[in-house]
Amino acid sequence: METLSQSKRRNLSFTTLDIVLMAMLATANAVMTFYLTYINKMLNSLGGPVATSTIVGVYMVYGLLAYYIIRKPGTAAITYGIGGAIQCFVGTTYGIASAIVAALCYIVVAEAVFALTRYKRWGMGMMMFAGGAMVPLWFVCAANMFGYTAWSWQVLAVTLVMRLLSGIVLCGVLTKMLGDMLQRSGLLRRFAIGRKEAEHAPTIH
Amino acid sequence: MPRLSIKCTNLTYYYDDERGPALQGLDLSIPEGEWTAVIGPGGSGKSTLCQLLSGYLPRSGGGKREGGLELGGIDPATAEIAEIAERCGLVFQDPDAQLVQGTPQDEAAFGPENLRVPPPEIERRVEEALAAVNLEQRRHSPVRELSGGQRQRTAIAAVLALRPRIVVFDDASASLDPAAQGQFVQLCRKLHAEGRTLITASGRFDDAARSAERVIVLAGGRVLLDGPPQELLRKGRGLLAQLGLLPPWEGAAKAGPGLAAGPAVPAASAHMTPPGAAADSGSLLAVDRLSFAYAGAPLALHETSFAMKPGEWGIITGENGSGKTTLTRLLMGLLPVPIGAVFWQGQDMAGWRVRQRAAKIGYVFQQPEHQFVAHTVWDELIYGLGRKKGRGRELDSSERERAESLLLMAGLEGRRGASPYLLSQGEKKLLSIIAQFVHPKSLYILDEPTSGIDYGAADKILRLCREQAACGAAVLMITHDPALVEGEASFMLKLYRHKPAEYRRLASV
Amino acid sequence: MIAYQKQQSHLHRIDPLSKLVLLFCIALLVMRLHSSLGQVLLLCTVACMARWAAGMPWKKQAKALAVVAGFAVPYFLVTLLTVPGGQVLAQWGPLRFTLEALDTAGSVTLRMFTVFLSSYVFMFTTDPRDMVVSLTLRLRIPYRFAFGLSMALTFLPLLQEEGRSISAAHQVRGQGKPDGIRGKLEWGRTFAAAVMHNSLRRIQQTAGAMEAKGFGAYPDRTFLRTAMPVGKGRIIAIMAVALTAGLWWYTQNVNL
Ligand SMILES: Nc1ncnc2c1ncn2[C@@H]1O[C@H](COP(=O)(O)OP(=O)(O)OP(=O)(O)O)[C@@H](O)[C@H]1O
Ligand SMILES: Nc1ncnc2c1ncn2[C@@H]1O[C@H](COP(=O)(O)OP(=O)(O)OP(=O)(O)O)[C@@H](O)[C@H]1O
Ligand SMILES: [Mg+2]
Ligand SMILES: [Mg+2]
Repeated sequence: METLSQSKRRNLSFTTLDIVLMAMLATANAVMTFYLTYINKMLNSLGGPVATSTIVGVYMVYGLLAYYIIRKPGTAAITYGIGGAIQCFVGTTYGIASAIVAALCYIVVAEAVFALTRYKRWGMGMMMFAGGAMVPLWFVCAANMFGYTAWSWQVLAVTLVMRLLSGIVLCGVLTKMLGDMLQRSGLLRRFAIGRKEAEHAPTIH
Repeated sequence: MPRLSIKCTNLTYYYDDERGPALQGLDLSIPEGEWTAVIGPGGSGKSTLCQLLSGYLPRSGGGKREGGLELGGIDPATAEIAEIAERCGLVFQDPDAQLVQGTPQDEAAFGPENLRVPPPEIERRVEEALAAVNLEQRRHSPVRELSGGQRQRTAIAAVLALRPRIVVFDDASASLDPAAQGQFVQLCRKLHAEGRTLITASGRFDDAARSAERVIVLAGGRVLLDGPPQELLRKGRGLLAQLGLLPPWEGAAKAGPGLAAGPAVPAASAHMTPPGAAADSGSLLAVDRLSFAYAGAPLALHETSFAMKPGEWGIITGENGSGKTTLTRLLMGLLPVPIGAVFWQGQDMAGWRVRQRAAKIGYVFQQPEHQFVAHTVWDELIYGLGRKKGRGRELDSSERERAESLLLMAGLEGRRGASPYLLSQGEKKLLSIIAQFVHPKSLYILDEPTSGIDYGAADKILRLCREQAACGAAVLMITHDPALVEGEASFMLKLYRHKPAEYRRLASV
Repeated sequence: MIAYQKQQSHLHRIDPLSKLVLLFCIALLVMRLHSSLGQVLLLCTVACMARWAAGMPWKKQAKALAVVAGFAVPYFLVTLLTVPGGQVLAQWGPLRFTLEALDTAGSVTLRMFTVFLSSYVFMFTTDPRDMVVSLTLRLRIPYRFAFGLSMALTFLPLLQEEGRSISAAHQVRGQGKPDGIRGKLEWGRTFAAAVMHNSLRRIQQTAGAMEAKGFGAYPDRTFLRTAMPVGKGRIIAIMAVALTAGLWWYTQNVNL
């Protein structure tokens, strides 16, 4: 018989299934980024980098979604790590260096946020908070890398607010909705998100 | 080394859905080094047993296992990954489900790499494994560009390179051409001679089963017969025939044409296709010197011609990768068709859209999963039937009746609410076929409809074809066992190395 | 989607990690240089490197840069009009072009070109599988995680394939994309759900099949593919770092 601490450790280390899921999400993100380039271009010609800021949230969904499903410490590190690495081969218009730095920024914030709540809270509010929290760090880095710093502070402020909103809605809310939708399909039974449901199920009626 | 025998005690297994057990009270003991063939009709639990042995169930596939299972001292459900991988290698039934690395070479190297085999040794094993399945030439091709049979070979090679002491083949030769099936049996003999424990599962009493030391017949999740093949053939012939495990011509005869019948290399073109088939005005479908190459690859199909009249039944055969699927995908418009090569009642089909073709042609994919579109068996069956009114579909009584009778015939009436993906491989195949026959069409194209299913189910499919042909529809069928259909078909086209090698009119009934 | 091409150029023969160091050096310089002139010089250097060290024809480079142009031009205009400056070059009504703004706009736009081109060179010259091997053998990242990259790369064509095959299935079954916006939306929803469903199924199958072949059995594994020699790459990486540091110091302290 395995002891409690053993089983706990097993629960916290990543299974192959977890890793494959993370890889799949990272791939989906890469494909999405590839096709979003067109929308991005359109937005860009409408309102420059300020307009493209409206959809930055979408680019962060995959890691947060992985966290929401797997719920083990380190999920963001691996998912964004894979995501950043695969962008080295699929490519983004913003370049590999920025893809990697962005991934690092997301990792730091997401891991910190969930560690602070001790991986216990997964409600809508929490996801919105996480989505919003991931924005500023990368914004500061991006501003330096792409030279946004040259803009006036008003433009910078507007851009930051746009990005925050985008992070909260397009990343936080969307992740929660996607996760719950996938969970209903019944194919996530072997992940934490599915198990949580099973634990609560008897207490419902 | 510990003895690696397999021992099941009262082994019972339930899938996650709330149905009865898929396997029930299995008591088996297989000594090390024995070659055991597990046979049984579709849905009898063969794959379930194989996957339990490898630990895939219930580890990755979920479900609930009861009773004991022991594999040389370990229980595959709880053992460490290394312990299982070193003991037991499973070739899954569905090649697509197990190819994860991209090319045959990477696929074959993957297992040994995980088990920390030194690279030079891996290199040797990869070479040997690919040679054993005749795939050296495609060593670096992306897996998704391989034909169905080539993928199955890749899957076999990947497990061979692991060199496990217990080898489990779950219907691994279903989509192989006759020559390769012969080779497969040879390969099994060799593995057996090396002292490995060998388990081969299939839906028929095939050559592998005949060469095995012991045959276990499963039906409905229970062991029905168990014994040496000759003894079963002597004593249980009636039961075997009733289960559809024996070919129809063996009802009374001693031996039918072996699977490896016919020369692998056909004598070239004594009777080639009549050229100018398109000019034949009475034809329903005419193919005139059709050639095709995938992007950046040599010709996959070279100057192929034939014609079909209403009510005709044609067979296409040929080795793995000879272009059969490519040909039918072209006919269906899933690949771009050149102008002036394919005619429907004299009209060039080049510009037709797939949907337009689908109104006239029913198409069954080689891999049944590729054509599933609905979430339940029933929805899958009636997809596209009836007029859409709002969101619900309304079938008229004759359509409903036909759908019901087809469902009954396929033995799926109890599974109408299940997801098509959760059927056994043979059940999937049957579903994909009846879902086409439920629509009245002028031509049905079936890509290997009889591979990997028992003779009983194959017979049902042939009956459907017969019915349709009698009603004036044409049937075009790709198959690796022409012996099953030769008696009734009107012509046979054999492809060899992407070219038509032989065209034969058959005495149709 | 994957730009890698098997060739025998100098950069093709350098290990991925050294190339990444080089790439980051370029990115740092791009950040550091604020004048258009500096950016022009940098872009020229990268273009020459692409041509002669990576064997990428000029035409291919131009095509790659054309992709970014769609971003760069609006970006140029926005910066040109928003950055404050003193030396007015031209003025039409409220629109004012200043020299400073022009310089900044030129620099931020050229930056994008440089960043993209250097990344493209990396993609063009690096076999993804080498990256996986390097990550495990050189950076000592546990192979199970590094393999995430390899899996992601296999899924990439697979996802596209999956989409194509589902679409083909619907068409063969007599229902392609319907006309009308509502029909299209509904169809898109079904389609997306199907792709998602199939991907989840594939995740389970893949994970099971990999474990069946011993994936994760031990903390380490061997590779049939040998790691690329790093000798030359390391020298280049060190040189690049030194050069970058030098330039950085120069721009910071001598020529601001
Ligand atoms: N993943 C699954 N979930 C639920 N039920 C399943 C699943 N896979 C198979 N079944 C059911 O379990 C039974 C046994 O299936 P199994 O795949 O073992 O049959 P089989 O003997 O291999 O058949 P075939 O010759 O068609 O491959 C069938 O009734 C099948 O519908
Ligand atoms: N998408 C593709 N891209 C490139 N080549 C392909 C592709 N699909 C198939 N091929 C190649 O075309 C040839 C014919 O393949 P096809 O699938 O038609 O064979 P097949 O006769 O149906 O074989 P099988 O009996 O194994 O199903 C093969 O050599 C195969 O490798
Ligand atoms: Mg089966
Ligand atoms: Mg085929």
